[in-house]
Amino acid sequence: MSINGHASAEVIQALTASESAALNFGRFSPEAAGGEIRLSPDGIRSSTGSVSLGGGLYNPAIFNISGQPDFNVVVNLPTTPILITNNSNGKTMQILNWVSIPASSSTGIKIQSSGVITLNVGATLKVGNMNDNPVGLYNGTYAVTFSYN
Amino acid sequence: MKTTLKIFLFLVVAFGFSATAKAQTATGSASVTVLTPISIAAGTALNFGSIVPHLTETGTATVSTAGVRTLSTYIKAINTTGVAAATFNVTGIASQAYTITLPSTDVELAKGLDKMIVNGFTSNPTSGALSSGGAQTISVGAVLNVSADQAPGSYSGTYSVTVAYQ
Repeated sequence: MSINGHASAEVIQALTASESAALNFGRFSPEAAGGEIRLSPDGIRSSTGSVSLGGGLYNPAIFNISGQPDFNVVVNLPTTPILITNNSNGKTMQILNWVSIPASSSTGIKIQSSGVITLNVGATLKVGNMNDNPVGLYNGTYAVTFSYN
Repeated sequence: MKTTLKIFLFLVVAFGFSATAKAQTATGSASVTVLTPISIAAGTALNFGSIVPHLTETGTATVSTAGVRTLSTYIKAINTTGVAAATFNVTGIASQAYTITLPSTDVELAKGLDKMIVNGFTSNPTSGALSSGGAQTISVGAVLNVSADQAPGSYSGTYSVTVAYQ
């Protein structure tokens, strides 16, 4: 005697992420002592120490994450300082205190019905004095990981 | 007079024998044993749960007969909700052995035009033996083959399980 059994499986959309805006602290001058520049995930820039903020563009990083609606995505920002380097002289600066909006938690960020999360990322740039951080363009890369919870 | 009566009685008796002989029937004995046919009914359905495919690599999700799911390198999962081996309830003759035949060719799970292949069916036990009460539950597991960037959604399909007395 035969019978038909039923089998089923659910496929969840794989996560994809892209960077739509690179983290940019903009222009500034360290002046005598240096200090810190804090760029919040919602794009507010402030400084400490002798750092003098200049004009021009600055913006938080923006990532677009696509996945299965109603599932949670855990975002892991860098937990150790990331170095950015002046390509003409090899001098470096540290970026630390990475934060995001929406904030990441162990349970993750819920994907809305649109299937997309827009994640803004800000951080703090540690600036040395004029000798440590002479004029120039500093750049580097960092990793943000996304995974389903 | 007395003698005549005796003869008469005899004749009556003889006639009675004669009539009995003409309608004689013999009572033979015949017997047949009706065996309980084997029967199979579906219990729990085979469920691979929810999985996340890789964008560029294929992979598999295997559900064991114990209902434990294992994923190949590129396949991920968020939870094990719903994951289950199939069960079938077989009934028939007490203590009788029987064979279990699982699909030997690919089975398709479909979501519209999108498909996934299920194969590698296994059962526990591999060959059946009904209990003294004439029953046994068999469990079935299988392998789900997931394509790269497999389209999201719920896939379903059917497969056949056959049991027969040995």
